[in-house]
Amino acid sequence: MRFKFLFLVIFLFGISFVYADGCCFDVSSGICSLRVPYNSCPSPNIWNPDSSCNALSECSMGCCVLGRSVSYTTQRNCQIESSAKGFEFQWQPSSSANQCSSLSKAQTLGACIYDYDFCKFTEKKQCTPENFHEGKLCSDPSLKTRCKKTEKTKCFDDGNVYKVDSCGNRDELVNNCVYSEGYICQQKSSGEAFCKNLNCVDIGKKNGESWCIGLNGKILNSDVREVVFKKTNEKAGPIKKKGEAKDYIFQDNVGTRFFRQICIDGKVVTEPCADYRNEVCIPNGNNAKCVANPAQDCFAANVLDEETGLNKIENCDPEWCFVTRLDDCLQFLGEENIICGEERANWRNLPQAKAGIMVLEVSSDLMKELSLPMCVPKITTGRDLSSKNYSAKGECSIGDYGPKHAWLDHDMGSCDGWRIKESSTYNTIINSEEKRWGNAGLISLDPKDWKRDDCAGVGVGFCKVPNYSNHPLFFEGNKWCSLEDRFEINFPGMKSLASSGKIADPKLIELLNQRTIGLGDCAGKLNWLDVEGTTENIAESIVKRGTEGRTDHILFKFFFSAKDWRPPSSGNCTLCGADGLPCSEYRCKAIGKNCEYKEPKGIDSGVCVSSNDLRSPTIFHAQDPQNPVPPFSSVKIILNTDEDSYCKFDLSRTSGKIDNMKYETDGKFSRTHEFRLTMSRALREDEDVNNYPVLTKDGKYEIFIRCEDGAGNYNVNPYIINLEIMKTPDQIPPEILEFYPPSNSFVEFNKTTKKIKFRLNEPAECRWDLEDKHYDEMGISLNKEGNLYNLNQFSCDNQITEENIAEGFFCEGELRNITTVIGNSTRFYIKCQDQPELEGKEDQYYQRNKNNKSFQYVLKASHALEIIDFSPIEDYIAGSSIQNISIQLRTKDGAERGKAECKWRLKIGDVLSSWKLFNRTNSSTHIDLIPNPIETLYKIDVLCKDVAGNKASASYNLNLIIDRSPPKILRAYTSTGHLTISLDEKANCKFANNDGCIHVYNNGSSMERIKDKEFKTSLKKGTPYYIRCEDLFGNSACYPEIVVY
Amino acid sequence: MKNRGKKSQITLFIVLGILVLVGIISLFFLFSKPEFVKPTKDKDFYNEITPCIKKTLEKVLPEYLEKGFYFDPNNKLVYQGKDVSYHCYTSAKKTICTRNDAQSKTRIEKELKEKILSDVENCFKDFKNSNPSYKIEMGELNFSIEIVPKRINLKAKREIKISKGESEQIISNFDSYLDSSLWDLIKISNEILNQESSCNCPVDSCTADTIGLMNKYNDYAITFFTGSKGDRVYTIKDYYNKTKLNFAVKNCDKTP
Repeated sequence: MRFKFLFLVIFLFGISFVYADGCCFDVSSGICSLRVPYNSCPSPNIWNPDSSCNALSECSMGCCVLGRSVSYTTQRNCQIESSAKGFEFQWQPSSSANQCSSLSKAQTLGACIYDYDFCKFTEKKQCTPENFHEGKLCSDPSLKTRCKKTEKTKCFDDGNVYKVDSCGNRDELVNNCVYSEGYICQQKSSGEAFCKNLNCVDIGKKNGESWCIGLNGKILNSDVREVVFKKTNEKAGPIKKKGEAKDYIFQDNVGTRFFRQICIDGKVVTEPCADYRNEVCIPNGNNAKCVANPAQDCFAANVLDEETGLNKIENCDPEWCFVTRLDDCLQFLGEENIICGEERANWRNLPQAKAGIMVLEVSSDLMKELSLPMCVPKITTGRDLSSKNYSAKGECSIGDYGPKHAWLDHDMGSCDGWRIKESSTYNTIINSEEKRWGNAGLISLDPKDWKRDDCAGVGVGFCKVPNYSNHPLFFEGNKWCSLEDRFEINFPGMKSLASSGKIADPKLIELLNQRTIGLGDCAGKLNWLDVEGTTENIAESIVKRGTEGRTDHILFKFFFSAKDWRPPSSGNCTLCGADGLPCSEYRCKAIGKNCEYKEPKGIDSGVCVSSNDLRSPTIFHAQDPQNPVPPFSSVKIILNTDEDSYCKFDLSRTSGKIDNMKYETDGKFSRTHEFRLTMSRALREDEDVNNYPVLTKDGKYEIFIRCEDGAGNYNVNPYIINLEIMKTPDQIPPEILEFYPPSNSFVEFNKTTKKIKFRLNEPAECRWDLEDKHYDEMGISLNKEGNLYNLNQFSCDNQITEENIAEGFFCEGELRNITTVIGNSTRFYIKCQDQPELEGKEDQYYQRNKNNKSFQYVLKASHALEIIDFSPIEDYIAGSSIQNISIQLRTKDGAERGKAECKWRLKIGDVLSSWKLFNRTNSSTHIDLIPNPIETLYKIDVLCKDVAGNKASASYNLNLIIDRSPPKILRAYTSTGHLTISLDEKANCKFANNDGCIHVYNNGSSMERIKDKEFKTSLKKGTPYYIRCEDLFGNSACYPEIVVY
Repeated sequence: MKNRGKKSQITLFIVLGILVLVGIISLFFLFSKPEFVKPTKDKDFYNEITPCIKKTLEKVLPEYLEKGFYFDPNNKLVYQGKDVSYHCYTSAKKTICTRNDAQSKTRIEKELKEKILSDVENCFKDFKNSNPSYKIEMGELNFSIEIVPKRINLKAKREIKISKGESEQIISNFDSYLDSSLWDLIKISNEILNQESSCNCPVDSCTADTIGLMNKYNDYAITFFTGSKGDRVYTIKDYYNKTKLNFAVKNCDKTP
């Protein structure tokens, strides 16, 4: 028994060991992995139950010196890497990676000569002192080694481009590829290396630079948490307009997501932050980050104070949360400004408070009673919007308000009725001693919401309204109820007490709504529960006698509920991802209840489709010609589907999956799909079916079709098109269906040859000639030996394969003797002969068919393409605020009067950007922008190509000069009663005769422009002239006073 | 006469000396079994086999990396139309994931070896078939893979006796290597997973600091994609040879 128990203990211990997470030290690599279960760390690796790896000495980290670089790693890993990279093993324990940088030291490098004239460029300690020549290269002529300079370049360990000497040693530095600037060294070929530009040149971002995409799908330039509060404070004021707060504080963020974008290797990569706004993208300079959104912590800060029954807010983290208030503002006595929001919360720290200035509460007493302040997140998190998760009492219910009671006091005024008084007396109700009952914010404080009692009506009072539960208040006049329904007919005081909804203070409702939205994917609903009472006796319930037996109160019940936000019943699901950002389940489902999220190709391929559609498309077809079709006829098949779809086909039966099908119809997502099949023929009796696997004896073929709609529904059972081919011999000559490039195309300038390709309906042999001849005579020439030979033969597909049936039979070859005379064209005649397999086997029935009529193909000569203009070039002067430089290129001639596609690239120093198509091209004018230009010399290469293949290239220098200097006065002189100044650049000038320079610019008089750079004004002798000029780039200067006596 | 006799004697000694030397050299070649015989001028047998071995690995490596160090992952998701294995997984909400043995170098070496072993064997068979004019006898194949910094060593030991007429040579070492960033990929992916699995869930975001890692490992682009259900796929791409490693993580899932 004792053994059994011991065994059980050992067994359980063993089990817990196997499944517990721990630290695994991989002996063969020296790396330590956290949170690895024992059974995932096989021997000889070392496992320790401490998941953090702190308890495993092998996992102690340290600084590993590898040549000039230092890495923070384990001792074992350092040993392996040092050995593999040929460095001396140097490792020392360290608790932080930051300490390693101090160990990074420059190596002493130089030429090490051995065996008389052999040389190696190496570290000092790798060489004997007498042979070491510090700082010298092996190719240094003074060392007289056998290593000579070469033009070859190579990437070396430090990541820079160096020349290589004839012994393979590092020679002169060619380029410093600075990673932080976005460059890495890359070997183009064995003898050529270069600094590869990883930056996203077209958008002006460096490699590794990242930025945030905010909830509106646009770039977020500042911390979204700060934006919220800045805006709130800006908008704070004594009177808030309805909806103002909603626009700035409580954004309706349902279905939104943060993204980080990063420039990597010249491309922008979108990295989604966690969906449901569980992560928020925070920009921080050039390094954006998706950080966890602690929205739930904000709600946790709301604690119910059992003593007061009010919400007590504790530790509402101002970084992520804020307290909802409405008009909860302060005003220091004698000041106009009202202090709200965050400042109000910390009002004691304000200088006015410290100075002892009296503070006035701007908020109404009403609001103080409501216990409405709540700590809510600045950025809410989203909820599961699946319909199965909707609940009336979900998490949103913390935004419920009520039930609350409202008492309407009986005014014992002259009209002996229930009334709300106007103006100053109006508040007497609110501020009466009955206030202790709490008006719960129900009663609108705005008299305009109430109809004045004029004491004039007869028979005016309350009336009974059936089904009152949908009518919170039913104090209506005599218009709306019959005498029988009237209640308290003798109350003449009230013409109409209120209409539905109006009685509630709109500010309260707004606040409750905002607060609800602030809970995240919640929606508020105002529920009036009517006056207290029973349905049996409405009258009794209206004139509520009150719990204390008072007869002069009406009790209203009020309940505001916060419910889960629900998507609209129907939405345009395709909008998800239409902004170029990945669609996700949350983004999709927020669009509409009909939207369903799918990931057909994985988590990165989310699409949002309408879930109402569970049916695969219905397919119909038409074909031309009808069955039976002549052999090798091109059969046009038109598929019609009853919804947009994407269709594929197979020529043999496949599995039930559309993805496995081989051929696309037309690649379109539409209701009509048209495609052609070049149907072959039936096998002749003498042909062996094994030699023609795709042909049948009976000439019957099946085409299997599947079409898939946007919701991913497709017909598992294929739609079958039966095609039947006549069993008669093929008596129709081959037909050319399409030329590539098409006839009437241009040929490159001065070129007499062009390779072309064409598609036929059947396998054939084809020839061309410049004259329209019989097929047998086409292209026939005599060689030197007097033998006939054919130079004008095309190379053609002559096998019948499934691919050929689906895509056609192709021939290709080169056409020669094309005219180079501009404006002229060359006409080629092409004829073909079908059934190459019958060569030598023709009989009276089965014969090869030749084209009687030639297919004509025309090629036209073209001009050379020319680049005629590029701007700007040479020195380009701009102001310091320049955002980009607009570049423009013009092309002329070529095949289509200068129309071409042009691209450009920049070279700054030795660094080349990649080619980029002009933003506007495919015309004779090509325009683009160089973003974020810097003051430097740009070399701009341009390359254009037109439809004929004509190319034109050019390089231009553009020297960007930033003008930071104000205009200088070159000369000032007097002439014919004028003071004239001459400047060194274009500008505008003003002058004044007093107050010195300070006021000239604003209050000075304009000087008259004589030329671009010359200005004059009438001269008053003995009077000082203060002149200030500003150039076109905003640089200005005020010059020393000028006085002419 | 005396002089002539002396001269003859010296000549005799020289001749004898040469004979002895030739004898010793012959004996050396006769009794020593060369480990590696330099191929004949017209045939480089070593270089007929090793490129084939390298190709077998080159062929499978991209798929292996895109799937995350597994050829047939058990626990996987689909990313860019392909299966990608989870390296750290938890099905529970707001909890830290548990890792598997994905980063074990020994396991990776073993799996790669097993995947290509039959193809490596075929390299030898093809070699034999493509040299019908030679008599080729092969011993047992001893093959292993070793991942080291910057490369993968392919260690193939097999004694092959190649004979044609009188001449015969024996080759037994077909070691070669492939330039590869696999070592670094294991190391970087491990750092990502260490960050993921040591995060303060659910307070902090568990996404690894990919930008920090890129600053540490300048030769690699490291990106991630977080899916709708909280799955995250990391991609590490070598700028130089475009090698791409994908692996998935399901960690500290806070989706509702």
